[in-house]
Amino acid sequence: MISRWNRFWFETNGISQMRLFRGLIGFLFLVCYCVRSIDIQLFFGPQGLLPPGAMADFLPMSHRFSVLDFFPSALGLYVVNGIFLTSLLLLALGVFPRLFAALALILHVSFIHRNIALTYGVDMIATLYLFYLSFASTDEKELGTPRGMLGSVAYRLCQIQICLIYAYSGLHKLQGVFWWKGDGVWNAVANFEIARFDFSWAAHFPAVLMAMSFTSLLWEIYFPALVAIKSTRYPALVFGALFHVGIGVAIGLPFFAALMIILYSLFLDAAHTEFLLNTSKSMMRQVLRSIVGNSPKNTQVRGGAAEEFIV
Amino acid sequence: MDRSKRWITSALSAGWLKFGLSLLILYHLCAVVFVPNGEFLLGKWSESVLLPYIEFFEFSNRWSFFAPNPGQPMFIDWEIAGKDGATLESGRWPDSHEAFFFRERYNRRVETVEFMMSDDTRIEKLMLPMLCRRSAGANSVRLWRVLYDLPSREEVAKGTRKIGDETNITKKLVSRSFCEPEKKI
Repeated sequence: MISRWNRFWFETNGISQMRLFRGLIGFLFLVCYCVRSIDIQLFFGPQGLLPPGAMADFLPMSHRFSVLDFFPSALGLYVVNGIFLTSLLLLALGVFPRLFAALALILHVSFIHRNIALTYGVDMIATLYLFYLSFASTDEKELGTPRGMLGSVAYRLCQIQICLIYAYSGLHKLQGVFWWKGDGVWNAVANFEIARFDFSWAAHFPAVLMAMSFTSLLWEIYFPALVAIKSTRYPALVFGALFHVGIGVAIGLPFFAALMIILYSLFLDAAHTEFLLNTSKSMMRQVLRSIVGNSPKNTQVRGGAAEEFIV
Repeated sequence: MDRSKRWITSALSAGWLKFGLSLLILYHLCAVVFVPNGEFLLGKWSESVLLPYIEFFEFSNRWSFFAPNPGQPMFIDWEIAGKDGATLESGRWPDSHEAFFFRERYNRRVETVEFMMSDDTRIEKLMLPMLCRRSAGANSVRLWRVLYDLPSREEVAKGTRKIGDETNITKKLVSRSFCEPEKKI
């Protein structure tokens, strides 16, 4: 029992999966929070939606903190946001990834605690995964060391977390009458506030809507079992990717959809992950070559540096 | 450096590090497993132990996407009036999503409405300062919560109702407040 526990938590090699995951999720968060930066003064500024210190009216703040409380001015906000975005970029590039994941986590939580009203799924998932990346290992040399052991724990927690998210999401839906009736999908697409298109035509296909509702429910609730069994893992992930692309397009949640699909990289085999890493590296090299020029000297130097960063 | 390395190695071989980490793993798992289920008895018992950790990192999400039921369309309608009581400007929050190139910006505005709808005071606290600064000469602001009733699939299929129609709207006045000093009428 103890040896199984130790093997599961402390001796798993998820280095390549975590490396791919770190790069993808780092860039996704970078883009997502760059977009949020457009409205930064409205959302977090002293003249914005919520005056500084007003969060205490909504939430108990005794255990909550925000670095932004020390930088209440508009300029301070830009500086903190700049550091946040830079730390996400460096995390994605693999420059001191644990350090910059921890810094990004502190600043990310600070933004949430400055104004929690505008947080949604992506932000809440970002909190957890930045936390796990703060002690994740993405270096083969750390295998068998205490750092590698922590990395193994981080990898397992990342996997378990996504299972919890899906299982709870499905189980909470069972409390709702619309999902039981098979009208859950209809009610989501008929909400014109969030739906991207007019789905009136879908009302003529009740069986399809019902099947989609129940399939979503079953897939979410049984996701942990589906990914635990090797033979059902990849079909479940492919279904999930299509499911999230559908939501991303129909409901207009592109970052959320991309985030959930990126989380699937944690369940890929090492060989497939290595293939994806090598492909992305060669693509990056090609992009850098086209930017720097075709000089053999330049290409070699710049390509090498980029390769190190990506790894 | 060598001494600390030796200590870590010996701790590792003795299994103490694994034991300590196992305790931390169990603690963290309790937090992420119990929190989404607010009704779970064990979660309530362990609240005092877990709460500081959960609130510090904001691990408080219940993972209830589109649950228990997908939400209704909801908005905040607002009207800014001048000193003579005449309307200076009026509008709806969130603004029309067609205006945003990045959908993400609109999604966050929708989230603010969901947050505000749970309590009228939230609507006032978030909207009032912003709206008072919006128009020069703003003297008072009126706020309404607006809820659209979704048409059922059968109604749309029969053609008796349309998606986004305004036949079943609940519009309730939240408050009329002065801008300076911000006091309720």
